[in-house]
Amino acid sequence: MTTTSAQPIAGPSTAPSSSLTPALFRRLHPRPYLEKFLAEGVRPDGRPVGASAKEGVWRDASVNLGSISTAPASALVRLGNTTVVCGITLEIAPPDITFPNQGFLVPNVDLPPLCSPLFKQGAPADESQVLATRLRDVLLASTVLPLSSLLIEPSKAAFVVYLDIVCLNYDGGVLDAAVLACVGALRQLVLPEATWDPDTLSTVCHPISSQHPGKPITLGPLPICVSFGIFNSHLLPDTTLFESDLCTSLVSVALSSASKGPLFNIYQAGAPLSSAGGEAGGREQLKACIALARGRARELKAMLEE
Amino acid sequence: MSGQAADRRRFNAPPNAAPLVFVEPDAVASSSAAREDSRAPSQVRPVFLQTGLVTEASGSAYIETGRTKLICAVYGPKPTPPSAPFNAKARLNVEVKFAPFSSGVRRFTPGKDTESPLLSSTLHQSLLPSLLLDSLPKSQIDLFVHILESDGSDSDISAGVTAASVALASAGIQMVGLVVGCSAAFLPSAPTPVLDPTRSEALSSTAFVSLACIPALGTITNISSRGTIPVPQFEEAVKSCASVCGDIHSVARQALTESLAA
Repeated sequence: MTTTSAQPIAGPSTAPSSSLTPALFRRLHPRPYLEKFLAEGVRPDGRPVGASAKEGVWRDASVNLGSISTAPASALVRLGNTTVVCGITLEIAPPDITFPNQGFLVPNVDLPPLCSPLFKQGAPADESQVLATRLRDVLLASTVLPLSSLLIEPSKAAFVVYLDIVCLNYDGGVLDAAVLACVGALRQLVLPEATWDPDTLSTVCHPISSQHPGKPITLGPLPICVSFGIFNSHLLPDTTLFESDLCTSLVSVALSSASKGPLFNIYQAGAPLSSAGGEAGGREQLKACIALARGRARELKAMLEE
Repeated sequence: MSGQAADRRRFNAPPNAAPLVFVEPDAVASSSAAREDSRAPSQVRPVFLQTGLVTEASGSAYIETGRTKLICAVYGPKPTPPSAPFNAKARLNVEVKFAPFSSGVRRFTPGKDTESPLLSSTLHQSLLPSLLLDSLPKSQIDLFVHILESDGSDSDISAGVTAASVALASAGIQMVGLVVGCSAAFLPSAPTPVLDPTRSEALSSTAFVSLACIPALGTITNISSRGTIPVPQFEEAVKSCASVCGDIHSVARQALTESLAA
């Protein structure tokens, strides 16, 4: 809980007891808590809400590249409180018979019990399987990593790029952070020089050095994923976990960070998006989401490139 | 790697995937007693410790010493399930996990890792004497350690103990003092034990000692050693570890007071 003041909230006479501290009120009556904030035009973390809000709608994002020295490439992303680490490891495998000129991309999302009280020890939660699948869909749809660039020797050897995501703090927007971390790490990745030896039927690599600089990958268009929640017809971009649990609909938009780039994936869960305007209202909301997502994608791309 | 049953809950590695095989770089044999990063034998790497990274946890700590990076989160005390037998003292459950990218070669064992239970029990052993668990019957405290980058598993224990103790303290679990860990390796080329060894030093060592102690009380909670060590050298290693633990303790205390002041 982040609130520190102990001022009791004076609620209307129909609302529950007015002698609760904000933290307790948030715990016992989450929906009225959020409604009170939105009525004032702000969200619990202070961000403005509403169609007129332009600045400060998104949580602070930061990317820290290359911090894990045991991994060829890594990225640590913080999106507000949500913290996610992506580490890339490389292996070599014979290509699939049906795709002899392609390497492999294996994403894996780990939501350890460390990151949130929602997850227990033992088998991976459903959430991590869903996230891994959606992450893979976004990465493959965007062709950010052309699988043909991982080839070493047709039909004999190709690189396997493992993208291992570990969530360290689960506070909503984990898919957004995971996609950003993968993209950040892939931009850093340099494949070591690998030669296929037909005599020993194996591949030998040279460690990256000045004589063998290796091969950085030419990436395709960088995907960025942005999530939204709809609560009482308010559109809340980049929801925290508290907000997304209360939202009636959740929308995720994955698109290319290039201006006017294609959309890769739109995902909507929960109640249909129609508002007072009927079906047209729903479509308007989706268009608003995509427009906001484009702006955010531009910002994040600029942050990655600096 | 090959022949592993397909795990339908994850995307699996392609069959016959193998780690990269590198051409041996031109090895420069170093026979000098100097350490690679030119530290003195009793000098430890700077410790960076920060609490409060995991917002939903009761307490958390992130530690970086050299290249070892790990994060520790504490959830609890919370009630044990009603089906569990009565326990008069709170139960401390420790789980240690390695991130797949933590050791250079991808480390991915979906089930039980063979190395983690040993680290978990060593950590448990090191922390238990410092905690006052009598005041928490029918409760359990969950401690999760996630190693993001590993510079030799033995120095992970030492860093893990320090981080875990700070995390427990920031969670408000009553304790008699902070537990701090330090390890020492005996290298064939050096006469004195080197403290806080890196992975390459640990791998080339003939013997290894790791120590967990409570500097505030001057008591030792856990000593483990590997290899044959003459007794006077063992005593010397334990003494120098214990004195260095005092320095690490002040770093840990600093991190805690800063987090409380914030």
